[in-house]
Amino acid sequence: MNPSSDMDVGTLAARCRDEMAKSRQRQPADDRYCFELFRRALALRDAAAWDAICQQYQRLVQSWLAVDDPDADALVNDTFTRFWQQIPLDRFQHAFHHLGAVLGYLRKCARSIAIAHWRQQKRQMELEKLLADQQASSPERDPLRDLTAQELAAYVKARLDEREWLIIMLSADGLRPRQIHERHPAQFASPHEVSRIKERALDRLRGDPYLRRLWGET
Amino acid sequence: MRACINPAEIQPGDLSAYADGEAAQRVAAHVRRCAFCAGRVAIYRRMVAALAVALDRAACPEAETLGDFYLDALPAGQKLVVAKHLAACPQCAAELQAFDRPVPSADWLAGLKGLSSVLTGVLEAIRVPLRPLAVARGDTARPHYYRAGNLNISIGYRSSTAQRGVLSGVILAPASRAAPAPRFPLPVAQEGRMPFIHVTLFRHDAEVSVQPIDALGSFVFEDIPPGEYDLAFDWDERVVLVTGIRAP
Repeated sequence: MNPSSDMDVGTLAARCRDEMAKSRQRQPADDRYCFELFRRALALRDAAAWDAICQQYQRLVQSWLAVDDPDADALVNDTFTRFWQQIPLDRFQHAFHHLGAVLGYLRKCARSIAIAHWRQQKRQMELEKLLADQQASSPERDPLRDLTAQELAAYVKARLDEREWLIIMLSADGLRPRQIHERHPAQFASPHEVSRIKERALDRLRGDPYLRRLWGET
Repeated sequence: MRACINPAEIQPGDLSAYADGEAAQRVAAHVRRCAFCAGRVAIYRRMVAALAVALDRAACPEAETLGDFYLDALPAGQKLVVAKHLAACPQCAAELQAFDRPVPSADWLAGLKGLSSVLTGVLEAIRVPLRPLAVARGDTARPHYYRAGNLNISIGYRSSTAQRGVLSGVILAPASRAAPAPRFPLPVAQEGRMPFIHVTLFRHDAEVSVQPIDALGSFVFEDIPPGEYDLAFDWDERVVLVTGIRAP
């Protein structure tokens, strides 16, 4: 009989907090109370249990995020939201049999959020620089800055055929026509064929009023 | 200048090749004399530089997908795509380490519980050398043998129309007993039953089609355009990958 199954959420949260403190001090700890709290929050969708978890694990999630900027609180919130969304009612019982597995999943959510945040920050900095160089005189904020790489890639891809898209992606990766031909000899008969298709693709992209701002053509 | 001084000197692709430093002398001579074409070359260079920034890491899996890969929570086909990507993308490989950051690890493959076998299987299959067979009479393409564990896999492509063809293969098991033992357990055919259930065809890391493998080990992909493909044979928790299949 699990002693935690009959407890109310307040008592469970207090026991969970005590056991977590023991664990931090490297003393033997009973993780059944914390696990029961997660079970009620995720398998039973108990709002009080969910609030207790968010309070209890906020600092741990912050440490996993390892982000020290004004967005940190929002990222903690995003982590808990994603964790909640990704564990449907019927999944908890099958996927998680002990507290370590649940916390491993919560940590995965935190790390994913942090990585996506780092990527977007780096990308925004590089795009800001690019657009600032190209549009020094324009006072308006360019919506291109807010697109993710995947969103912009989807926009470009929709304007090209399969081979043009492959060449543009590889060229953006720094490959020259000869290298693209060597890597994909079944697709391209010669380096010059790569150049011909690339030029056609670039001419088409040049005609796009949205993309032209990237390289400073107005 | 609003027009090229002599369009007859320039063929489609010449200016792009010049911008990439791969043009012939005659193109270089033309660009030196023609301000209009020199301007186009400058635009092409700016475009590629801008696209390199804008599309940086566009082909990388989402961070969430990396996390699911770390937890071994992806379907086999997607797992394969991510594994292939990780082998070629140091940025994603470094990010994968962030999921395990409290335990610094020089060899992140070894640290991934439950995943090392998948990746080892992929890498092992990639290392297997290609051994072409003689051209079969009537076939337009040469079938090739690949070896994985004690299995030989024969794969060939035959044109059915001008632009389409059939990619087919058969798993021949078991291979010679004299074959060296693999470093890790790979699929083994037992009592006439094939260990694989289905095979997935990929092109540019995107799934094209999934086909069953019949009791005799045969599989067929019909209506396939020419191109370069990868095949993934799913087996239990592992994936055996055959890359760089050219059709025709």
